Amino acid sequence: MNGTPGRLIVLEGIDRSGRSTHAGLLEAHLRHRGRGVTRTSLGSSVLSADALRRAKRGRRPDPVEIALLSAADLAERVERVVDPALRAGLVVVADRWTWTPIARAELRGVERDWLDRLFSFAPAPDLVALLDLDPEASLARRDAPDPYEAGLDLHLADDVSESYRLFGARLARWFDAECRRRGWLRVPANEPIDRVEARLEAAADRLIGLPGRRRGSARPRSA
Amino acid sequence: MAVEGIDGAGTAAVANLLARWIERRGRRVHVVAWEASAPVRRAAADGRTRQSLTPRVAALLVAAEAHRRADELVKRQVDAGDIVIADRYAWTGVARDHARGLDPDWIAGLYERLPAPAVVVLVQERPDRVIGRTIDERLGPGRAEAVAPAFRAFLAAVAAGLDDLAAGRVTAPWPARTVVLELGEPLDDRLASARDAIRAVLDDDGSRAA
Repeated sequence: MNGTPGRLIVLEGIDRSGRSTHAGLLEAHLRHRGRGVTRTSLGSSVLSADALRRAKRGRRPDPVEIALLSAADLAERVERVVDPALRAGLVVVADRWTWTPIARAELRGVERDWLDRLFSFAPAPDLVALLDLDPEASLARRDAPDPYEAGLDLHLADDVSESYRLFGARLARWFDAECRRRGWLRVPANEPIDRVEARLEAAADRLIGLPGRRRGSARPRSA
Repeated sequence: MAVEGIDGAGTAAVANLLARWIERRGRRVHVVAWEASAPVRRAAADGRTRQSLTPRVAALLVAAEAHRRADELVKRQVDAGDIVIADRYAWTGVARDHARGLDPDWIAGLYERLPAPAVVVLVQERPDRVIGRTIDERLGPGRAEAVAPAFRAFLAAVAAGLDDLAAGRVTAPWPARTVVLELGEPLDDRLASARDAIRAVLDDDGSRAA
């Protein structure tokens, strides 16, 4: 528990694993069941998001600078959105938290201890769900990967798609190890959307003490 | 090398005097003015973004910019064998963030991956001697009366933070040979101790090259 009356639920996973879709569905589900919900996502801060995007697109992206800007992006959202919502007893659904920026930096050689200290201001989530997707499937779901997110600066391959495949495999292994170590909820993201949704909703309901939904009382998808 | 001090302490003058002295010893020197972060200044000046600029967000944005600048203005020159004197560097950032109430260990971590200076020269100055000029320069004339008490307290906290860093009472981003140019002595006498420390570093360089 994060020490406030609110609850923090984090969805992590590689690109195109369905995080933002399921964050939206989970928000709708919790609202339907009478809980106040706030949603937040990586790179959506007012001050830091543009600087973060520019740094990623730079000629020589520096993983330390990008980690610091990612921390600024998160700090801004924690202080302006997340902390007030948790103190007010709301549920916060976060599309990625500290782990995506930590993984991207650690896989570029930045020390894990330094990264953990950098992000130590972030409140601990009450529930982390890893949307587990094979990098091949991720590649099939997207058009043109962002060069930094594809790990092109690591010179794994000249071709951006091949680089994404190789870097995505490293990211997937990183998340797999973190998931085992921390006991996160692992949800196979290649399953039908309704099954993924149901697993996330059940975990969220258990966390906030809502009784399970009875058969036949499902919220209409349009709600 | 880094020259640190509060606004108005004369760090630029000290950095330039030391640079000329090093050049006379046959080394190429770059003086780099470590100016305030432009994006942070813009955010602070804009009513729509000011509220988002909390001490922690400002600290992270400034540290990110410091890393970008260090890559452009310090690493390449040092790698080429030149000497860089930063007219203010990480200590000033650490002391400012500390004065804004952030945890000093966390702040030091933000800067520990910057190139570590061989020598840090701290130019001491009393805030009350420089506050009027500093406010005029930053905010325009006529504002001193309105903002002076808060700004004086902030400058005093930054000056105390710099003294704590020099004395090892607060975690610094890296260990460095430190020289404090104390108040009250003539500038030339004050610089002698800085020159001694720099001479030792240059001699070390020379013996390693030999």
